[in-house]
Amino acid sequence: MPEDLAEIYRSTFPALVRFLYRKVWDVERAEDLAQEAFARAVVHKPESVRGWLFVVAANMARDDARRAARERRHLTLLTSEPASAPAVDEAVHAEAERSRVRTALEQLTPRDREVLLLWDAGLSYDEIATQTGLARGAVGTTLARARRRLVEAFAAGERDEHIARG
Amino acid sequence: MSISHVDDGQLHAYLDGELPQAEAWRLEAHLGECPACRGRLEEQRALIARAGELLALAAPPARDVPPFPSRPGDAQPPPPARWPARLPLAWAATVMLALAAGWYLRGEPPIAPAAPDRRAAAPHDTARTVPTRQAPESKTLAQQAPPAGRALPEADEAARSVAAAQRDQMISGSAVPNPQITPLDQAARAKPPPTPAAALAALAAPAAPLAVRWETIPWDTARVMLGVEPARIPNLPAVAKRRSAAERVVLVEQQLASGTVVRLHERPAAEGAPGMEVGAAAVQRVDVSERLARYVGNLRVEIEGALPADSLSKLLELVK
Repeated sequence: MPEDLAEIYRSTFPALVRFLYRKVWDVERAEDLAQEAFARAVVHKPESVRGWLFVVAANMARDDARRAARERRHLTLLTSEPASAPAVDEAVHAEAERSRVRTALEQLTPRDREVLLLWDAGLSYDEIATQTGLARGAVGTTLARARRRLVEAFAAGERDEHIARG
Repeated sequence: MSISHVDDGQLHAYLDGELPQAEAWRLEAHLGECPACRGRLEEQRALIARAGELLALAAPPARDVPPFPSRPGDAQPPPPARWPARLPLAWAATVMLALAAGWYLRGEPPIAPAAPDRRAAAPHDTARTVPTRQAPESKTLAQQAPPAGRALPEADEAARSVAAAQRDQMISGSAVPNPQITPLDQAARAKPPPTPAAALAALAAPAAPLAVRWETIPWDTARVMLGVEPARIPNLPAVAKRRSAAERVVLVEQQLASGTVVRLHERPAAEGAPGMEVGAAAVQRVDVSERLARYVGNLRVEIEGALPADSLSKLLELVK
């Protein structure tokens, strides 16, 4: 394993998992995909490792997301350990929030969502531009729109739930 | 810039620290003289913070960074690997069923341990239909991430040398004439064994991790030691072993599929089941998910290795 790649692994792995998690919504699956992306980087030795990793990871997530999310959700439910009542409440609450954010994210256009997730995973505007094919100057505009839509969609989702509950 | 207002994209780039220096200066100059844009700057700052909060709500739980993956394929375990307990438990039940059948059948003349056609049919067919499995030896090389896909050349080679070393230990004192064949050869390529002796070697090698050295003995000897036909799963090749001539415990090893071995420890009926002391050290050394021990009558049964899904039906067919 090249030394610099090991270093990139330490610094980038959590970000890559974070990025992948918002695509597959399963942390173990996200870690698997992130590891697989690094393993491929060992073989392919790309020039710009970080950017390459996110490209490869995004592709793998796209191929994988539907099937994996279905299987893993099932297993996560079955294998999750019993917890005390307050912990359960907290977990349920966190899960509900996560699910609202997920719903909101799904209302963005694929490009807006991709740019937002890449930024949140720690990529620079330059890296995002290279990866998405956007002009560098368009990254800020895209991010501005993506953030606004995310916040609006989340708020709309909350409103709908309140109405539904009466 | 000082005349035209700044757009949201520039404000976000500025707040993200991604606006080139020259542009940032121009923007700051404009903000200095434009309260409207200063107001928008604060709005966008709040928006960015809010979006960040929402994304944080949907962040994965914090976990330790796993070890660096060694090579592609290692990092994507087959789904059952995530769920180690259930499948082997279901398996244990099935093996019990098969054993029960063998238990009642053992008054009949024994099926000779060296029946090459049968041997080739059962476990190796299974290996062929489940090409994504690897033998346990290679698993230890990719510990964090159980193997998927094909057996990779390096792991293959390393595991082979380990297996060879183990086998060398095993065959000292026993009659296994063909040192070229290792279990991994068979697991990876799923070829029928060229000779019965080679197949026996394949069965013998997985026992090597046992802390105690077991020597292979003729089936007749095992029968004499126990006074009855040793228990076994019918129609699967079996190898009988013992630790010493003094100790009257017979170990019968049967390979269900590549990497999956069933071990039966048996004592003469009068002496009860071999206790936990038998192979206890080995049990501690192996992850419980990979080895299960159960008692049936005066038998101690261990199952080791991954259990391919379709081997279940194979085994049931054998029992029928």
